[in-house]
Formats: sequence, C-alpha cells, structure tokens
Amino acid sequence: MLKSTHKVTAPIPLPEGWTEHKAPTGHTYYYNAATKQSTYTRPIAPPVAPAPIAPLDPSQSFLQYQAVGSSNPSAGPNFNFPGQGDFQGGRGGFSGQNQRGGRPGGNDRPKPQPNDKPKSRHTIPGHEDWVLVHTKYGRRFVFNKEKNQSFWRIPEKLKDGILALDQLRIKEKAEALIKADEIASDIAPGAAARPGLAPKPAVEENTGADDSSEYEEVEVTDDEGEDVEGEESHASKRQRTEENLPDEPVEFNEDDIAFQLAAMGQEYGLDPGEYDDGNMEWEEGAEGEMISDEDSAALFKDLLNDYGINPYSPWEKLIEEGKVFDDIRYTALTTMKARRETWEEWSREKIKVLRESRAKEEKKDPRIPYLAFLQKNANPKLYWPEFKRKYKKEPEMRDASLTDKEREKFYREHINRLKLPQSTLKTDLLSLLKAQPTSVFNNATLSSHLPPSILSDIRYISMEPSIRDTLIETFITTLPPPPESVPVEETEEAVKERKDKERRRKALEDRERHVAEEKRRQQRDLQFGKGRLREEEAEIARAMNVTKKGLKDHLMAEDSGVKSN
Amino acid sequence: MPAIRHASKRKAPPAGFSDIEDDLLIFSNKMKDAENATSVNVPRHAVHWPIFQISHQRSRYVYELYYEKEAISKQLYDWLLKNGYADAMLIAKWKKTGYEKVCVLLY
Repeated sequence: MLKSTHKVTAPIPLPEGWTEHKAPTGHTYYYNAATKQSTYTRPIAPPVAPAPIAPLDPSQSFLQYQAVGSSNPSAGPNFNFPGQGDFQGGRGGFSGQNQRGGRPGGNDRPKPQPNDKPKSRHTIPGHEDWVLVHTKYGRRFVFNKEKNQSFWRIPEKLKDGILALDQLRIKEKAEALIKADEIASDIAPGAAARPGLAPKPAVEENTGADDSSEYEEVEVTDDEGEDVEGEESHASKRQRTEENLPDEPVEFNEDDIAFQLAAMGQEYGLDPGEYDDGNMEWEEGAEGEMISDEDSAALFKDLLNDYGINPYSPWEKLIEEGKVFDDIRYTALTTMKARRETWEEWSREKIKVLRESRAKEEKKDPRIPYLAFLQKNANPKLYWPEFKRKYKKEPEMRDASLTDKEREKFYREHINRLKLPQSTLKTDLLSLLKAQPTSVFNNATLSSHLPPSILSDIRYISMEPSIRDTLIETFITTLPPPPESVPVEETEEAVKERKDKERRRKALEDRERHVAEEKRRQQRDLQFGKGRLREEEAEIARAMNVTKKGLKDHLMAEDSGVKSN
Repeated sequence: MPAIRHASKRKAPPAGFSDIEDDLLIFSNKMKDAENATSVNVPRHAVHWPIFQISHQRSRYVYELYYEKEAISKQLYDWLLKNGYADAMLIAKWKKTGYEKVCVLLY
C-alpha cells in the first residue's frame, strides 16, 4: 500500500495547446499557438474542479497542541497519500478537504487562508509506521502510514522518538551547513548559504525565476538501519506549482535521489548558459577598445548612408522599420543613446550637405520636366485653358513650384514657336548650344545628360526630338575637351575617405572575430565545467547508495566501484 | 460661406516641404488610425492618449527639424505651424527651461 507516491519521471505534461521551445539563449519557454501567449514559467493546466482552498482554522496555529477538538483526521491536517490525489495541486496540503465536504460547519469561511504545506517528513525512530511532518509555517504533526491518519496532537508514545529525531536534526543541520559552504564556494562563489535555514546551496540563487528552482537537500540518517530519508528544504518562498511534486511527503528511495540529482544537473546545465549571456555582453564591451568611439560612430554613419536612410525622417521611424538591425555595424555602438546621438549628428550633417547641393543645382529644376511634358503633349490646336483642363491630373501640371502663369507663358511661347519654320528653330538651337560655357558643355558631355541650362530653354524643345538629338550629337563632337580643373584634389579626398572606411571595416571584422573566438573559448570552459560537475554529482550519487546492510556493505560497494573505474 | 479653395489654386508650401512630406504623411495616417480606432473597453480618461501621443510626436518632429537640426527654413516652419502640423503652444513650452519634455498641455 505504501509504495512510493513519488512519480516524477517526467515533468508534468503541458496543458492542451502549449508547446515547449528553446530560446537561442538556452531558456526553455512555452508557447500557446491558440492564444499566442508565450511565457517562461511552465504553464499549469487549470484544475479540473477548481478546489476552494480549504479554510484552515486560524486558531489551530496557536493551539495546535491543545485545542484540536478531536483527534480525528478531518479536524486537522489530513494526509491520505496514495490514491487521493490531494496533493497534486501542490498548493497546500489541505486543499483536498472541502472538496469532499469534510467540514460542513463552523469552518467554511470560503476566503483564502495561508496555504500551509508539508515541508519535510521524518520517520519517527522506534515507531516505523509513524511519520513526523513539518509544514511550511513551522508547525508539525504526526501521520500514521498504516491507518492513513494524521494528528496535530502528538500521542504520548511518540514523544521520546520525536525528541531523538529533533536532536539528530539539529546535529545534521550544523553539519550540512558546513558542507553547503564548501559546495557553495566550489560551484558558485559569491553566493553564500544562509545560516538559520536549512542549507541552501548557492546554485539555487542562480536559476532564473523560470523553472522550479528548488533544491533538495538529501540527508542520510543512518538510524537503526532505516531507509534513506529525504529532507527537502525549500529555498524559495514562491508559490509552488504543480511540478513541484516533492512537496508531497513521499518515500524517497535510491531512484528518487538519482532523479533529483539528475534534475539538479539539468539546473546546473541551465545556469551557466544564463551567465554566459551576461558575460558575452561584458566581454564585448571590454573588447570595444579595439575600435575608438569615433570609429564606431563613423561605422554607424556609414551604415545609415548605405541603407539610404532619409535624414529628415524621425528616429522612431528608423527604429520601427528595423532595416538596419541586421547589419553588424549596428552593433558598433553599444547603447541606444549613443546610436541616437550619432544618428542626430549624421542627419544634421547630411541635411546640410543636401541643402548645399540643392542650392547649387536647384533653380531651373521644375521647368525641365514641364518643358519635356510640353514637347510631348503640346498641340497648336489646343488653347491654354483646354490644354490645362485636359492635363490637369498630370504631376507636371500640378507641380507647386511652378505657377500657373508661368506655365501658361511657356505654353503660349512654345505653340507660337512651333509655327516658325524649321531653319529658324535650328539656328536658334545652335545659338543656344554655342552660348554654353565649355566647363558645362564640352566634348565629354553625353547627349543624354545635357546641362540644365540647355534643358530648361524653350528653344531646346522647339524641334522634333529625333532631328534635334542628332544635331546636338554632331555639335558635341566639334566641341573642345573639358578644361583641366580641380577634380584631382577632390579625388585625393575621396581616396582618403575610402581608406578610412576600409580601415574601420577591418577593425570591426577583427573585433567580430575576436568576440567569436572568446565565445568559443567560454563555451569550451563551460562544457568542461559541466562535465566536472556531472562527475562530482555522480560521485555523490554513488556515496548516497547506502543499503540496509550498513556501512560495511557501503564501503565494499565503493571499493568495487573504484576498481571498476 | 467661405470660398472653396481648390488644391491647384492654393498657395504652394514653402521650399523644403517635399523633404518632410512623406514623414508628415505617415504621421497623419497614424493620426487617422488613432482617431478611428475603437474606444470600446478603453477607460474614459485614456481614450485620447494615442491622439495626444501622435500629436506630441509630430510636434516634436517639427520642433527638432527647425530648432535642433536646422533642416527647415523659417518660412516652412511657420507654414507648418499655421497649417496645424505642429502645436505652437507646446513648442513654446519646450523652449522654456524646465519644460523641455512637456508632453501634453491639457493636464
């Protein structure tokens, strides 16, 4: 009847719709495709019949030794371990009661009471079928395994057994404290076991809030050839979730211990991964020395240039679009603030440059597309109002930088010119071409890229494009070459710029490589550390294998183990 | 009844408007979305928050373009204020010391 109720072979299965995933950082997280929720904490299936938390008479907490009205189990903690499933909820040892309607009167205040729950249990020496159970709030009661009954009031016959147990426990606590200190300094230096509580190895503190962080201290009581007992000391005060099955006062056997150790191992496995990330970042920051601040800023500006970011756009737009995130140059600057400052500086410069270049070329811009449009569409048969109405949707006609009056003027002039003879148009065009200075119009000029001074002239569009283009091409061949001028100096500057850029890129690559190497090395260290830890744990596990036959057998087994190793 | 001003007859915005036109359009689209978003299940006092937020962002955008980056001309800035692209009263606060980050003038 009293087999081990400890059935933790696998974690509690996830509720319907949830799936488990591994994040790139190594965390496991859970995702619900239906509700599109994701969480680090393992989701728990909602209880089938939401059990109201059993009200607990508050008076019991003081009066536990005298005031329990009956020694009947239903008056106090009721521990019926197997088959009841009372503790599956894990939310407290008493949750099962009201469900069964055990206490109809007096005690049915529905509102939540402190969830007390069993914390540790010990077989009472001398009375093997009695168990002493300590609860979270420091109370204790006895439980009879045979009869499945529990009592707050401790029967007289058990008194001396409990006394012996208490003494033993105090002794063990002192020992374990020393042991824990050693472990702590071994595994995670910097985190110390707290005195006063049952020893909590420091590892616990490192596990994130996500998984069941709970450390099981397993103590060996070699008392009268008893079985091994587990005392669980719950490090965290957080609410237990379902997976924390060890809440139940259960029988621990070797298998269970082995499982616990394996679970601990897994926890260790998780930990350094978490640490790692932190380290990596720190590492990167330290590496930053290779690239100076200006260089990283310049890299970031290069990035902005390369992606064709509009310098007029707000910063939020850049971030929302997220185009630049994939580039490694984005990481050249490590903080968002620095990035924003650099972006501001860059956009200021860029806008200045744009304005200057625009100031140089602007002026005639709007006329050129309009004239081209006129050449294509203007028709002597249409008066200006008709033409305007017909093409009012065209962008050239709606361009705000050209007034309607100007448009009209151009239109009328163009229509009038179309009526002139071809020879006049030709001489006009040639005079226009001749009037251009050699700096903008010479034999290196492409006929497709004529200077704006020609394009924006009404004489340019008066002739048929096919005749005009051949005319212009032949005229270009007769022109002198471009005068030698300043571009040499400019190119020098450009070369310098290019070199600078190259250098920065190289520095960044170097850094990336360095970081990758560092990462690899850490990974290796980590693996090594994990391996060592695992070995140690295996050793501990072996040491825990104490059988009923006592110390001698244990030593012999160890010897054989050593030999076989 | 005021005369209807046709788009083609309207005076053109000052030079440089075309540079920021797209971004202003994004803001105005966002504003339209916020205006048309449902206010069911939103607390009464929070109904206007998205609208205040967008109006703040747009004002900030114009303010930064003119005062910090000097990217737009005085004419364009004035034109933007006149046409409701930015909140002049809010910007007036930002220019005072101690009020640089005021978000809304209502409360």
